[in-house]
Amino acid sequence: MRLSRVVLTIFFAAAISCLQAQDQCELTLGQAADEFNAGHFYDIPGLLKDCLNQRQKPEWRQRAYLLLAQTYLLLDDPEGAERSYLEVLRANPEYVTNDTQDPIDLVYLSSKFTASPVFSLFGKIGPNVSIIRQIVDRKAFVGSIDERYILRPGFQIAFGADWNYDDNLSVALEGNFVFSAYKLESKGVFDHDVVEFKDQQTWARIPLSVKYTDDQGKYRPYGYVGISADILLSDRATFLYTDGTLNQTDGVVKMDQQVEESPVLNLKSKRNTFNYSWFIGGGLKYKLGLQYAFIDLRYSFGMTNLVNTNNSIYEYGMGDRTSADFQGTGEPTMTWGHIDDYFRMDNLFLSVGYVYPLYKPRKLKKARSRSVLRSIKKQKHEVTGD
Amino acid sequence: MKLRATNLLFILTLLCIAFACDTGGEYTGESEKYFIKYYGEDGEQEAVDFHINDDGTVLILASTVTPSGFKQILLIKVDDKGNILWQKKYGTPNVNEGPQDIEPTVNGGQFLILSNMFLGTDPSTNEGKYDFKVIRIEEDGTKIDSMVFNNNGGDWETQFMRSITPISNGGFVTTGNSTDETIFDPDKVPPSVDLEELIILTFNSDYSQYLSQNPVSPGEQFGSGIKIFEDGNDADRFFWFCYLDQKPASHEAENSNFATFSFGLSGQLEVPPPGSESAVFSGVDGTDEILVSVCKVPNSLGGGFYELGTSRSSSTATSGTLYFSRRGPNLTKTSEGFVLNKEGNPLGGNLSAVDVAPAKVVEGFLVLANEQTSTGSTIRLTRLTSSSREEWSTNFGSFGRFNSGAKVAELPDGRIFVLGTIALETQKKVALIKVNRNGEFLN
Repeated sequence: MRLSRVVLTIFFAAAISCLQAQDQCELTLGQAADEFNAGHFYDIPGLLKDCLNQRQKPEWRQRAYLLLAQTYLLLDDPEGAERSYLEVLRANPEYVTNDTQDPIDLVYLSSKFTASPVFSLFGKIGPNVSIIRQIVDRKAFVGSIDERYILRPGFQIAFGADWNYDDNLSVALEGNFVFSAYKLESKGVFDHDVVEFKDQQTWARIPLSVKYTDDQGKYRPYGYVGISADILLSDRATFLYTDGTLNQTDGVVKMDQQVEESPVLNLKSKRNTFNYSWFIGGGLKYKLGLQYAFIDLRYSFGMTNLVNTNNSIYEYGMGDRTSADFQGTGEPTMTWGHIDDYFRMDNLFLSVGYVYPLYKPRKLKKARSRSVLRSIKKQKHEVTGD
Repeated sequence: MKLRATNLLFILTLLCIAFACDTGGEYTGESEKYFIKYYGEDGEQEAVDFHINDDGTVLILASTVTPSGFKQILLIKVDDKGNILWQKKYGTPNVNEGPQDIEPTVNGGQFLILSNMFLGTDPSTNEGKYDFKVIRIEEDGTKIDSMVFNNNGGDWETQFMRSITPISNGGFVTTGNSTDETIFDPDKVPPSVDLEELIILTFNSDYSQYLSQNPVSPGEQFGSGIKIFEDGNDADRFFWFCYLDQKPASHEAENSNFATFSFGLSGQLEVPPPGSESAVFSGVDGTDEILVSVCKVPNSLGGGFYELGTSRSSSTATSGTLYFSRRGPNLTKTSEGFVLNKEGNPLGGNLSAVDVAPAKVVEGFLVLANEQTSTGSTIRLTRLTSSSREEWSTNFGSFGRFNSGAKVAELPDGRIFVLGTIALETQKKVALIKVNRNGEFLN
């Protein structure tokens, strides 16, 4: 009890001390601004030195280094000005000078720097559906069978990074973990039977895309196109077989139904492991401070036949073709009457996510001074005009 | 400039590769090269026999159980991709029909279907009674006419016919036995007393008796006629393939062996002179060799006949290993013995022979058998060399269910058709399987 009181006391003392220090530095910054306005430039760096060595709020540091940058410019110390401006951007990566309000030399200085992120990290999660595009219709059941693929929900989680070529154009590399699913329903099998085949896949997908993003405003739409390497990690399926049989008892014909469900069957060997797809997508980023939340919609076009044509019925290469193990690989066909169509799989992904830009304040190799020069010319013109 | 053009070409090539997706064109014709197709309707269906026409279409003979619970004859015609062209049912209402064989008539254009009808159980013996029926149909399945044997005018108790052979005069011959114990279940252990007689019946095209006297059984306790062929050189002479437990002179035990006889228009069996009985029989002393199937051997493989059956080590066994006997065009026995595996031992597995067919593209024979598993049976397809040694074997069907083979044939391109009954999760269905010359579902 006593110990906790001591800890609390120390905590509050430290907090109060910190607040007092911040208040003191706020006063110091105000004093430095006064000195600046009074033209006493040489005193300013020394005045701010102690506070700058302390932990300060980003907003305070931005103001302090901005003052220092202007001071060094006036003291004809370009290196000091550049160092200070770099610190301004570290305090606030999104700081930009105002051409009409800030001194033109500061605006010019700012044109030599940028803090735009080279890389942005992001994560996202959401649901998906799989659209089966049949390449070759294959089935073991014959006759008039009403066969259709039905959407089933899956979900995905992804992490990735954008490499920002400029403020608008970027290249994104992702690592996706996708759970996809679909159902194949066959009605009219042997007249009255219904077979439901539910297939679930787990994928590791590595999409690479080129993205264009609006760089202004609170809401920033974007669009992209890309290609993805899709690695199938697992494929598991179940069958639900409803056997409808007409039976005649005492002259009355009635339909009897028997429902059987299979255990979970591993179909990985009947699928191609390495596949690829193209995708297009777009979304909307919402600015949250220096980061973003976003919602993303993507349609992926599967380009490869997912079915391993060599193993679609039995898995060859297992040795003895009379063994129980070999026979087991034919379970979907020999017990449940199923043969996969050759098919490609499209996916529609809906995701929500979060972008964490890795801002990197740095000096540009080539200053973006053209706009500044235009601004200077404009200002001169206005002065001449007066 | 040149560098840019090269880069552009490189990028375009990459884009072409990247945008190239798998299309149906890449798999054109694949569904014709190999497949498994299931046929049937409500209830259970069991495969019996097929006939492959010259145009690649296939007539599949099967049985089906109607909603009222009676077995009927189901005939399905499919194209070379396995698609149904038509299917028809035949049979007497409220009678259990057991289709047995389908064969084209000698002049073509028509088919004969052999069926055994279950007439009920004899209350005095608690055993089944059977009669047989022959249906003549057009190529499109239209029924022309039919005959029911009527137990030889009611004089015979029962008979069960195993095959029908159309003959040159437009008629046909059938053979089987009078068994009432093993009907519909050839693996059933035969009775210990003489309850079976081998039967040959010959008919003209109008269903009248062809021979004034049909050949009579050579004497046995059990056995069955399996197949009759016309002598290719003499239309008035027939070759009869059967199994029976008549003891050859060289054997000590009365066990079943393959036996082959010939007969002419007199109906008398042409028995070899004393001391040459072994020419008639094929089998091992002390074990039962049960003949199941006989095929004609093409001249390219030496001509003659190939007999296949099951060798059972004891009378209670329902399966064993495979036994063969090869005979020349005049029934001269050229070789016999166990079908051997690659190591030269009798082919492993608990097998019951089903069918044999010649393989011409890769010379040898295709053998179909049922392999008993711990909880069921699978269909075993084996390719044999011309010396009856295994080249490869493969099984079809789920290990834990009762699947059974019915017929095997090689197609002109070396691919293989197998007809069988596959026990799906809830019901048995007719399965037509097309595989490559190695027995695989591959191109």
